[in-house]
Amino acid sequence: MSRLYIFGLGSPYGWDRIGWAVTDQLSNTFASKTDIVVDTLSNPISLFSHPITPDDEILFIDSMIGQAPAGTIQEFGPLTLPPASARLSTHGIDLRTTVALLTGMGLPDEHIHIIAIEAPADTEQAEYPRTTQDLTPSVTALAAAATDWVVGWRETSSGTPRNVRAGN
Amino acid sequence: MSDLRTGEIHVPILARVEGEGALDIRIRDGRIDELHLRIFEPPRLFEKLLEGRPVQDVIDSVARICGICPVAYQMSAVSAIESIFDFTPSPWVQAMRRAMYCGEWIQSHSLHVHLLAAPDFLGFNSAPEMAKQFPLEVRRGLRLQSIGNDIIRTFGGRSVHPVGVRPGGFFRAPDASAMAALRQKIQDSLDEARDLITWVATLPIPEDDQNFISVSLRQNGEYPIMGNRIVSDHGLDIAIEDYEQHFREFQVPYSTALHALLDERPYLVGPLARINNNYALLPLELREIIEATGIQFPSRNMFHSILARAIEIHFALTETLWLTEQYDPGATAYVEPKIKAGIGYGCTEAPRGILWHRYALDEQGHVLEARIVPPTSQNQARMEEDLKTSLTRFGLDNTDDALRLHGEMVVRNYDPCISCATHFLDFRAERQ
Repeated sequence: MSRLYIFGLGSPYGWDRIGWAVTDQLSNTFASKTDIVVDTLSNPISLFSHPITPDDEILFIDSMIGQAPAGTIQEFGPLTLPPASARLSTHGIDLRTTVALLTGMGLPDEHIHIIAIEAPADTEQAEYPRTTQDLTPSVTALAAAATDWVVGWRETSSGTPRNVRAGN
Repeated sequence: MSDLRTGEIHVPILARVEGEGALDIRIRDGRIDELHLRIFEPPRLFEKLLEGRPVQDVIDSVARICGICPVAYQMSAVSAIESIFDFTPSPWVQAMRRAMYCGEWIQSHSLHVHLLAAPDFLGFNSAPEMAKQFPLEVRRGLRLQSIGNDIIRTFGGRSVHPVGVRPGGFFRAPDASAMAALRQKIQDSLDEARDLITWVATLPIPEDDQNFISVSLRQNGEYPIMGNRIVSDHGLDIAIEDYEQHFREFQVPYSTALHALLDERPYLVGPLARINNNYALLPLELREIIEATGIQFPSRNMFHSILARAIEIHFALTETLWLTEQYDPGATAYVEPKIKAGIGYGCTEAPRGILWHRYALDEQGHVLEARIVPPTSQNQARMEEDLKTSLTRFGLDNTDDALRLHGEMVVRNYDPCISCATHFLDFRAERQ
């Protein structure tokens, strides 16, 4: 059975928490779906602890900086993923390298998806979110977009019409 | 091209190493006239940042020096601090700290073997390229890496910059179910770790024997992770407190990281040095796996570092299993030490080699002075020595591109962590 893996990327800090907060919601939403695995990752390369096969699909949930106005939600694939605005340590393998590893191992480009929400570009100037509640609007918006995407994926993969929200 | 070649080769950015460095080589009349491993990442001034901080801030702050070896920084710091407090952690705490440290070796070594070093030996430009032909091997390596992360997370709350370590022990003990799940994962990975050693031993590793001094810790009859003596294969055997009497750190004008010499000679720290100095302390079963590869230790071939890392992954997995075999979740996670003023030393075996700390604390336990000597600084002089030997042996009449690639391969073989190495204080003074 092929699976959809949903990985929230991030950390316990600031806007970077959004990916984890969204996957917290999605893990509840899709708790009954045996073909959906939801996990939070502090480093994208940790996904290799899951037994992913080329038949599976992956959805990354993340926040990003520098592509659009704050709050904008965008979807990317391996070929449209923009270059990183900051150089990460080689010891902290970034999303782009992780995606390259996945495709190198045979996962088709079209099985890899990234949905991300734009955080304020200048985080030093922008109001720093003190609690997860401060991020609620962004988390709600990104969770809704991800949920819609998953519903679409389930309907496409099962051949059923797209008219209900999964898990509701 | 004649053997009396003259010219310059520049590698402006070293790829697949942590941090920012470059390599400049000047060849004159067929010989390397000048070779500089140039580190230009700005100094990070951590030692100065620690001054005035309480000890828990030290433990949590030094973890931020490195994203790949935060446990090593925490352990060197906490052991130095506890020595000032005349405090000896309980056997349970010592065992669990050693297990946590094993997690760091596993994740760091797995990353280096599969994503940074192996592509060199197999002729690939990158790990994703290598993954196309060796998907199972790369996946195996990344699974092992994730187990290392799991071990760190179990004790430290998270795998990157963990927060579980404190003077006297840990903030909390992992619960029994978390430990049982971790142990099962480790148990399930042992065959893969054995296969990894066999696979690495079959890589086309160049023959490049050299004379060098191996320096490591020695730890009471155990394979060293946190020891109290520094030894070499050339007769050195000193207490960690005497480090500064034998090792000299100094500035070179082209690098923001200090170099270090042992009795005025370059030396090697890291997994190959550890195995060279402590081979007999590896478990018998592991030594049998190694001997079946036909490769012998001690080894003078620097490129056997990749095999040393694979060996230490297996060791760290079995060691963690052994340390947690009789795991007691009800153990006292820490005892509050009594704060004292004084000077203390800590030295542990980071994935890349010995990591030496010295702290002076005041009566409130705040830092008066800190000194940190990371392994990459210690390996820099050895790397330059190795580059001169290895490139000359490789053949200076090779094309610039070939020499550049070989030079990068030599540097990457040390898994240098440049960001760790660039934290010293006396930048301007040393430049004068």
